Amino acid sequence: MKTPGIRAKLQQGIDRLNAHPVGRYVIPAVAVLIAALVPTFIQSNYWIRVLDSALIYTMMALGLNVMLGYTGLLNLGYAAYFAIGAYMWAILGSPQYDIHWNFWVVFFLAGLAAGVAAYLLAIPGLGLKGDYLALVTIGFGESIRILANNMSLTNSAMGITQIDPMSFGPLKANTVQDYYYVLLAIIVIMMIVFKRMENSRIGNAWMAIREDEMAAESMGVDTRNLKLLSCFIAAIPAGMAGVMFAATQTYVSPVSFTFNESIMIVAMVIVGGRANVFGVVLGGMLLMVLPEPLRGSFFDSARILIYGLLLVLMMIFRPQGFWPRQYRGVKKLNGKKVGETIEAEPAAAGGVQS
Amino acid sequence: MDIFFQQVINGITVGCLYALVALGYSMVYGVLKMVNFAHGELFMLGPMFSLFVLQAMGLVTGRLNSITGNPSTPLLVGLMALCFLVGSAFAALIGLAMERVVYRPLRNRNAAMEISMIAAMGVSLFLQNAAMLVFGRLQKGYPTMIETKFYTVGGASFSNIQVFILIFVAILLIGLSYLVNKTYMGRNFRAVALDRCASGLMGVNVNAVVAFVFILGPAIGAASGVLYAMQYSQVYYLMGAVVGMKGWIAAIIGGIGNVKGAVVGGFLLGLFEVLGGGYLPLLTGGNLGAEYRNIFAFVMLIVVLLVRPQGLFGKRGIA
Amino acid sequence: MQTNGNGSNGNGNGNGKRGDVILEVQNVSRFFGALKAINGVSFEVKRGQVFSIIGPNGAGKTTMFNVVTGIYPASGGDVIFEGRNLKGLPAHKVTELGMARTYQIVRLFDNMSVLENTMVGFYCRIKAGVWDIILNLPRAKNERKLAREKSIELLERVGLGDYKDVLASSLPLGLRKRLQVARALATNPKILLLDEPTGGMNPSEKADMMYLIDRLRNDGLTVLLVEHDMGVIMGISDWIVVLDYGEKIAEGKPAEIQANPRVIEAYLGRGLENEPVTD
Repeated sequence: MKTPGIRAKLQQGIDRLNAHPVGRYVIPAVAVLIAALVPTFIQSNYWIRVLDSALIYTMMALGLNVMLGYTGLLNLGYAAYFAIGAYMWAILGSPQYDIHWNFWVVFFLAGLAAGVAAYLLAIPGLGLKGDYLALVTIGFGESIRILANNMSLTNSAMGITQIDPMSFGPLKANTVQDYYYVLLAIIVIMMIVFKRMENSRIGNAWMAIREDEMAAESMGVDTRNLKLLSCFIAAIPAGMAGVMFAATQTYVSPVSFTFNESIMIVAMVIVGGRANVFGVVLGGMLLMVLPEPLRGSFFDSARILIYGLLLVLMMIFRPQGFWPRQYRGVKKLNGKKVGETIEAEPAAAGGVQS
Repeated sequence: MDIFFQQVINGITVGCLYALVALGYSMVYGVLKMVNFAHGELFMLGPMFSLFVLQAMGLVTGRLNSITGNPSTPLLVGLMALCFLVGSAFAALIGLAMERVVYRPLRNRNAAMEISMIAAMGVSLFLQNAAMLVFGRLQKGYPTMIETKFYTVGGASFSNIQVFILIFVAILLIGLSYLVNKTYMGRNFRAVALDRCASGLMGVNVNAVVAFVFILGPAIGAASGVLYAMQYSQVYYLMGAVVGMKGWIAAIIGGIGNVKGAVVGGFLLGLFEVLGGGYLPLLTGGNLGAEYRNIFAFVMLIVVLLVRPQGLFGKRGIA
Repeated sequence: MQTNGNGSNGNGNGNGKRGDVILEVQNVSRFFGALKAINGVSFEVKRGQVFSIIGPNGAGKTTMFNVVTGIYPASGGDVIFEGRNLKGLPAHKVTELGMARTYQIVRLFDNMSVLENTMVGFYCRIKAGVWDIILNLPRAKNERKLAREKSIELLERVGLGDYKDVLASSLPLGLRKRLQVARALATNPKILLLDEPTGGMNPSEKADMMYLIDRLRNDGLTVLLVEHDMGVIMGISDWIVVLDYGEKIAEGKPAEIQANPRVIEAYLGRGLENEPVTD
């Protein structure tokens, strides 16, 4: 009988820890603690700013995961919701129209606005097959960008500058570290919320819809309303991220909300590991932080090429992403050992005709 | 009224180009049931590569890359033919490579549709950026080959290049129609488009049909690219992105997978876009200008998807 | 949350008594263009019966299921379930009312575990809302716990208890069919529609399935069955309806159907000893 190796022993240890009602929180708590301590160890403002940006995009990756990872609805125009949020704060919190609303009010309003926009777009989009839906989302994304680029409300291509920073009542944020802690807190809260949804009857139903919509409908799942709900919830973090983005950049213009942004967020979900909040966060942080050292070198202009290559390679060799939804302690029949973990693959094409 | 006539001609010309691109999408989708998002890049690579060849052969000068010297008409015609051939061949090569390296492994695995889509996006981004690195980031002039002359008929003016485009595309479409409807390969193509599995079982070499489609589609798309470059006298590494998207929309409007539909869809889209963009300032009293032209494609798309999702010539059972 | 795994309380689920009519199919037709998949079929299913629909291939059996469960609308006629006309209701509503089904070609949620598959059935029986879930309120927690326990119970009843965390796509066919049944039972149905539950099974698996159906009937569940295997049908059915080319050609107890010449002819065509085919 073979003795299990180090890796298996480690796995068993982690499984036992996670099975314990309190032990479950140990690893996440340690991770959060480490993350919170980052600014004390990394003094460079540049890198904190990079992390801030990464966290903002990770918010969006978490949001898109609801639609794409759980429910299996491909959205290629997600940057549109980002734009809606960003421009809301740009308009409601800057000298442009001399309106200065409360930051957090707009923060939640933007989330709501993005959600409503997604909901309205989904209503006609629901009957469409996957690639048609994707096309409609591309269209929506592009249309929002064109509108932003041409409307005087958004100051067309010139964008809006001198946007107010984040504030808590009279306190204004003025360092990148301020934003870091707030963004970190937001991410942690979002991860908790989405994890709870994932493990609930709604998350379960979403995934059923992803796997086989007709079978889900036959099992009593109200597929139409759940898909609408999924689209609604998925867009909320994007609106919020937009507000954060506008505040940290103090400047918004249509160039930040192109098709490439939408693809990047999709890549974060797919490459990171879909239907798994941890994987998605990993994907988000990786895809935003890793290109940084390359900035300024030759590779910078090849960034998109590397991106494209990465997408293709992942799709061919590991379509489930780096850290997909795990089934701990799963026994796979016909051959594999007890306790070996296997990962869920993305659904195969086809599906059966009724 | 002359403006209307003018816009119609412009619309049809643009529509020709969209039709050719739409054909590429439709053919690939018909056979593989997947969207080749990188098709727009094939449209771009045709003229890009042919320009590269012309430059390598020392045949173009100046910032606008016009043809050196003042060659005679037969020579010009020969050069044009060269551009088309070289561009189409290159695009076909890239298309085949794309299919072999990326799409076939996914097809063999019966991968989910989103996986293929995302892989196609990856290829598209890769090609775009590669073109930028190899051919340069800026717009480059493209020789128009024919000395541009304008004709005026009934108050509308159009160029001889537009006429050329119309004739060229008409011939191309007739040839394609013959190919699809009257030849052996064409019949195989139609069979595979209807039912890939059954065709394979009936002895059709599906891989050969796929290769056929990935040669013809890109070649036609690249030809369209060369025409586009000649019409607007420029190439640009991103030129495939927008036109590709519109070609895809035109294919959907006509009924994806349907050759006739792609052509009709292309023309309709071109007309609608030009007429709409032209009349928009008039209709809205100057509030909305012609820059909103690109939204027209998406508006048309959404209307079609809502009213008749299978497109004009598609069969029911799509949505 | 309703607590019965299969609606059992001995005399047929709550509202009605065993022997009442639970499902009426009244002159139902379903056309696909010019094709009359079902043409004016009527029958009544009584509570607590195992009611079988049989017929040669293409007779319209699966189409009948699809119409009854609301996947397709009927082109004509009505489906009355427990006195309520199902016209216009979406399929998930029909399931909520107490009708569950399985599919001939198994449709499972392949990238989810066996337990997760089963728990989908509880979706329409739990009432926790979005806010309950996000704030992890007691209602959400308790309902989830209960749903989980009930699902495990159900899996054990169908013999899948050991496989609860296994990825559904890795199950062999026999177990996949059982999982479909477990999942359907999770919706707490009053009537269960099984579309060829023994298709592709070997004799011992078929016997297991028959035993399962028998147990379900004893617990008070009504079972509507489409099947091809005569042994299974004759062994388990209380009542049989025979379809051919979309029309009902016979109906009755198993023994009657077995002897019915029209039924034999539909399945086997005219035999050699009969008159030669003249038309």
